Amino acid sequence: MDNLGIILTGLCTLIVLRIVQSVPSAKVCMGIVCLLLVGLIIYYPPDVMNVACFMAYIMLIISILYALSWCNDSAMLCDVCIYHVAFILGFYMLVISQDVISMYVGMELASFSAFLWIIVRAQDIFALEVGIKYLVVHVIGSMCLVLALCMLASIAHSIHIVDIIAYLSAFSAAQDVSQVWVGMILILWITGLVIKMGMAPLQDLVADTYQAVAPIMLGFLGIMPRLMGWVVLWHLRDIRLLNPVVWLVIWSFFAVLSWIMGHVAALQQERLSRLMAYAGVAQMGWVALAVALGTDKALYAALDFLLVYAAAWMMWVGCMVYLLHDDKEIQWLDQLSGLSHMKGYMYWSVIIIVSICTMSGLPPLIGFWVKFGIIRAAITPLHITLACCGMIGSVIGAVYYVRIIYYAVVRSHYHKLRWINSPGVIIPMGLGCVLACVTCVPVVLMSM
Amino acid sequence: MLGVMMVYVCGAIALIASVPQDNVRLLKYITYIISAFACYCIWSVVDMFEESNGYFQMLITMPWIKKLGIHLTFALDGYALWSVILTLIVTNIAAMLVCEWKSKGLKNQLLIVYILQAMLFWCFSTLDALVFFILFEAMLLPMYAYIVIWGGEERIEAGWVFLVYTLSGSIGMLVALVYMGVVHNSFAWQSWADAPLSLQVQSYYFIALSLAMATKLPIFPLHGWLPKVHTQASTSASMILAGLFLKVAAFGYIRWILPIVPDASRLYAPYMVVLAVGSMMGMMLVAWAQEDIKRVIAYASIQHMAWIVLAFFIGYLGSDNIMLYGLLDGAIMQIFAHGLVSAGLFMAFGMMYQRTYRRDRKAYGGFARIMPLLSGWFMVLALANTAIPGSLNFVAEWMMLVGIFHVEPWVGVISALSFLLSCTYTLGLYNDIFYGPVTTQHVHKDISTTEGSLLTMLVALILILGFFPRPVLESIHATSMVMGPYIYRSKLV
Repeated sequence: MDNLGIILTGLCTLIVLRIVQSVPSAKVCMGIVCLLLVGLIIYYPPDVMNVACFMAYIMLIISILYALSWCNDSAMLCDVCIYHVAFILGFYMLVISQDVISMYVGMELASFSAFLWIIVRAQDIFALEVGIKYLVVHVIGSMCLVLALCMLASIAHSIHIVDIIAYLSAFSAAQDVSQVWVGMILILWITGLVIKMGMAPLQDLVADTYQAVAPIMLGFLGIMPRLMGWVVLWHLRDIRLLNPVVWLVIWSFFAVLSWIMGHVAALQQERLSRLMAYAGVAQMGWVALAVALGTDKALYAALDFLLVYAAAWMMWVGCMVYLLHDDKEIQWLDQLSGLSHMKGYMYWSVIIIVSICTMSGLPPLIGFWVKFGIIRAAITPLHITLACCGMIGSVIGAVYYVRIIYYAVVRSHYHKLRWINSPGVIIPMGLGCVLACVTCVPVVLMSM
Repeated sequence: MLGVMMVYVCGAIALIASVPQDNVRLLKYITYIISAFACYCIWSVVDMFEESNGYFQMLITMPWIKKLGIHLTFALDGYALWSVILTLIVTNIAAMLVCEWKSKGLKNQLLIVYILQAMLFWCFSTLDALVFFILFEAMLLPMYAYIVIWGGEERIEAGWVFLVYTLSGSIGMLVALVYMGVVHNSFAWQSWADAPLSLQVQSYYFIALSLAMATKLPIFPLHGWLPKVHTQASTSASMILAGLFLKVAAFGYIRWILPIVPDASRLYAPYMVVLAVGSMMGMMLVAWAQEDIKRVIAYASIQHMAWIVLAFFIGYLGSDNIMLYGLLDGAIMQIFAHGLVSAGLFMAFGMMYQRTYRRDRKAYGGFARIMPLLSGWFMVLALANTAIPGSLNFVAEWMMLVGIFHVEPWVGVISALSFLLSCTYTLGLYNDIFYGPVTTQHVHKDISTTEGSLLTMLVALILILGFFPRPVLESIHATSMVMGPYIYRSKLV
């Protein structure tokens, strides 16, 4: 419980600071929290679940570093930090949970802190509306998950995950469990996860949420709920053994739906936050495909995918945080025009190109390799059609991703762009370097 | 030597990248030095290559992702050798042309040209399917940038058309390659060529890869992007597109489809022959009706690429292996010869466009009086495009024609007809541009010495190799003797 203790200490310190409201001390304290987390990462033993944990911590550190240069007042900085650390606390509880109750509590804590991000700093009625919608939908998702967990615990006669896994491993259709009951568990479980991971048909809610929150929130919000979903899936990955066919059919449906809804909607967007939100939904189609396959190899590939997507996403968010148009956040695609033609802005053009090409999966970048990993896992006569659907989606995706590059690199209209001069600007480039290194040696990824 | 060439293609990019953007003079000198080194590379590689050995030579291999069976394996056989030489020739001439015209964004243009050179070089010489796919797809982005940044007025639309067509064509390719990789636990050409596959698997693989290659080649009905892109692309981009980009797809057929899935190739050969003949005749008729000069050259390119496809597939309908190997020889010769001629035609027209900024035929007339030197070179290139005896294209098309006649005389008759009729629109175009009354008052001078030298290099190569094709032919034929048994091993009747 050492790690949990550290995070709890960090959280308490932040809450105290929130009351004191002092920017310099907040920065010092955040530095200490970051150092503690770095130490945690170094001493953590390597394991699949811990990879997800490392990633969460790194996301936390980057997100907070972005916040340090972005937030104007101490109250806001402390708020941002508290929500981040609260989310990590929930996430960590989820990771270390041994029974379904602590798993559920962890999930809820993380979800609730995400809701607070959206609603507490709501600037207008739209953001407030979105926050409430987000809460309602996620409550429904949580209800589905908790119901599925209760039903599962009732048939396994235990709330401990180990016992449930043992029961699932020995499960066969001949056992005295109603197929309707089994079907209900699967449907509730999958529905809950689809909601938590922001897949289709919730693409509009995801887009509204991204539009409503400040760029600084986008980094964490775009990745962590999805990573949380992966952790939940990994904990109870054998749940598919209840009925592998139903599992495959439903997840395949959500994979194709996410690709269709995400890509089609993204094609029509002019607002950057919405475009990236829909693109993110479409990207989740690949995760859904990996989950549909259900094998350990496929789930590793999904984690690889999330890792790389997270890095590329944080690069993109870095641009949104540090680049300003007319001293306001960049909102429209058109506002990126002429970026590479402006003196001293080549740095940002490179970051945008690398992050966008990585997300689109253009070979030979690492984004290609992670999709390759999922396709490789899907090479069975049964799933090859799904892999082809994913490829069609990628081609459509390439069109709107290249459109962003076109605006940033090719168009030469001059806009009032400027960037915030802060030490944090090296983070996106650092992430880009990491991605470039992994591109050269993709074998470092787990599924390779 | 292949290692030296690897260093050369990377070094060219690094050298250009290290020069300041505004130092045009230095950029020009460095481009000339790079081109001189390319000449040395070509000379050395031809010298070191054992012409009688048709198998892969100068092998370089290093593991990349061992667990997945992906290796960085590069080697040259007769087919790859001349494709690589073509790459070095066309890209360096394009780079020197860009320098001569001191085009806007010179450094970035040169960077894109040399990046494309590296990608094409690796693409032709790799023996790993996944590396081929990565390069095949990755080269779209620099080409897209080249079209969109330095193209004509409708360059944005042309860029989209280019991306959408070529990316859509490749949808199934990755899945098919990964499937084969998983089945064979390797992506190496040799392990794929040696392994037997069921007809069903072969068919899926054939369709997936053929779609990608046919789109990029392109053949009817997937050709819609090429004329649009050519009309909007800059001269050097058009040179690389027509001279090299399309050739990668033809090369993809001979390396990654025909020897790997011979049964499926045999099964679909009649359909491919029909498509190729249709493409050949159709594009010729369309070329006749064009007013835009670049479109005429573009459609002529499609027509000539259809010849290559026809030569690849009609062999499956025949039985005499020696004649069939002649078809393969002719097709590979055509890749090389047409690469030179189409790049030359686009370059020659580019030199006129640089002075007039017009692409329609009506804007030209009497240019033989204003630009006599250019008119001479254009004449040679136009005639080479129609495969006049004495040109390298004649050797290639003649070999293909003999093989086609041998296998299917009726297809031979149609091909010969297209061979003859292509002369009419090419010479008609030449007539419109260079003869008749002078239509422009703005052009007073012929091409510069450098422009003339660049054209001379291409023309000399086409003529010298046309009269003495032995060096090209021998190495290509030796490889056909090795590849032929792989390609024509199908037992299907």
